[in-house]
Amino acid sequence: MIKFEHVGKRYLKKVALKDINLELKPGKIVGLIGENGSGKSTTLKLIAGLIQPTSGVVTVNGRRVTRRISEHVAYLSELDEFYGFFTVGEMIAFFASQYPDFNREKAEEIRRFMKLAPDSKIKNLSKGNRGRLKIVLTLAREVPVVLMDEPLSGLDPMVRDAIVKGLISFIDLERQIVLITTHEIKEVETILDEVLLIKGGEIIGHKNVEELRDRENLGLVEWMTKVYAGDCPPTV
Amino acid sequence: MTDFDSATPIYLQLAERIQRQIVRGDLKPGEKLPSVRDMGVQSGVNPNTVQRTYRELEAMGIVETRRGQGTFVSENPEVLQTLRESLKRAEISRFVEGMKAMGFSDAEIIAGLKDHLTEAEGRYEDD
Amino acid sequence: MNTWWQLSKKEFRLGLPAFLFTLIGLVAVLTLAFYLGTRAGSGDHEGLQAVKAASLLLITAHVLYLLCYMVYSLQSERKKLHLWLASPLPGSVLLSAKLANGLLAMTVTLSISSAVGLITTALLHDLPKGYTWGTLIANGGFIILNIYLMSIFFALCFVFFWMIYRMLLRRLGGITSGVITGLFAWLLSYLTNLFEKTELYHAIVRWGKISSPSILNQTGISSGHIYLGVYIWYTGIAVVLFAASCWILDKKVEV
Repeated sequence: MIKFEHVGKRYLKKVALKDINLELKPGKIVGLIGENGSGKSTTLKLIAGLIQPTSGVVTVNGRRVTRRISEHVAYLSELDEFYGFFTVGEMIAFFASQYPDFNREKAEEIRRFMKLAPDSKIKNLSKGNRGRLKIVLTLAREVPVVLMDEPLSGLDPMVRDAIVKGLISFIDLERQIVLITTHEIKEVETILDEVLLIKGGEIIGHKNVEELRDRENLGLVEWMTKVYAGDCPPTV
Repeated sequence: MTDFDSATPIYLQLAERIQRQIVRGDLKPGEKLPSVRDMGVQSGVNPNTVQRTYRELEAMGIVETRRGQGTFVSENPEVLQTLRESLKRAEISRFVEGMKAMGFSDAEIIAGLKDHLTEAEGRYEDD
Repeated sequence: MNTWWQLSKKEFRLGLPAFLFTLIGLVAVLTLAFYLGTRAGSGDHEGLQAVKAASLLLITAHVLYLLCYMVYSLQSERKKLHLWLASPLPGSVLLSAKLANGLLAMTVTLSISSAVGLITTALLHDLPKGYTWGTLIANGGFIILNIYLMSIFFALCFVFFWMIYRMLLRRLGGITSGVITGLFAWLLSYLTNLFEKTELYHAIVRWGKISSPSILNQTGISSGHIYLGVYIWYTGIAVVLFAASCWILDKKVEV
């Protein structure tokens, strides 16, 4: 379980998050949406322990987060940087050696599903293929928490489709919780259980997506637009 | 990639799709439905949502889950007859609502429908 | 164990360009020394003398080898921190894999430099005054050991200040963090210097007197003896710096 208690994060010139309280339980795919700079990436990095809160506490399964929480958390960065000297196969082998929960067979299965050649050098991969590789490395881990920062951004529709299908195929919702930040709401709205809407460092909405459709007859984009405009009470 | 209406619950839309497939005969009585995950991948939907769809269909008696084997279309002819009937009604009421909203009277609707069917008779029977 | 081995193999490949660069640099310096020596003098004799001098210089330069290696290795991780830090391994393991590979690379170039020094000495029949081959090897070995120790010490100092800088970077920005880290480094070395002039320091380190190699005494680097206590003192500092670096890496560095 992921828990935020009065979490704030300030950078040099900017308040990134303000007094966030949040509890997320396993078995769900949760979308983090909101405009650029609203605090989506910051939220994920805090859970991954790659940054530390300025105030408050973040815990994963009751453990206070440091970078070593990566034992329980798989983090897909929005950055495309890799160790360029590795081939796809070597990178997978390296990850397998570093994370005890990394499932080699599953990685092979996802790699084939993503149509990535094991012997291509990472530094020669296209942006789309690097995006696919990130999915392989992240989803091959049998880990309770999966964080994905903009897994679809800047990729062409075919790659986006493959990634969304890959997510559905290889996530284990019996055990995992998946957090995805994205701008491509349309692409992921059919696979989200819950959605968190962030604006100016604050969570201004937390909804079950099917209930939103059921009770308010709203799609995600319409809801986001409404809440952002202030037409809709930000129920949490 | 998926043609769902974003403002209507996905589990209902998916349930309706499956019901139509059954009535059309694309899914035969006793046939096994794809696993939750496969159905999720095929339709681009969260497995939790597929699970809910299957549960709803099961509650309606349209499918049945056999432990360890999967989900199957019901072989009960009564259930299928009821399903056929209710889909028919749903489709008709949608049509009628639309016509009424445009201001057509009952008589106009019936007459229009009859004309349409007569004109189209040849075409439909050829199918 | 496999985890460490695979991590180490990654570090080897990450640091490979730095290693190759120093290897090529080494060959280039020696070649240049031979060329310039030959041209300045009347033949191979002067060339060899120049090569010998260059090799001694290169051996000494290894005092900074590990530091330079760590600069390269850590800077290469700068844009990949989300990969390097998202590891369940403790900071001590992450850093030791880098240091071990740096030491390996250092050993290769240091061995080459030392071998060149010995070969040119043999060819020139040029043993230092009062030395036999046996005493030269023994004394040389002692010096090499000290070069390793100093190299490790300087590298750990750099790692520590790199951690301080990275810890401040996201919070204060590049310039402020750089200035603060610089001031902090200056302050620490100033305080250490001050402390090393006190009686307390002398009381701590002045035990276990051993005589130092006479080559060092002749050149004025050493005054005839070295205290074992000094080694313990600097080992202690190194351990503290390493532990602090690991702690910062595990708890405070931000991507």
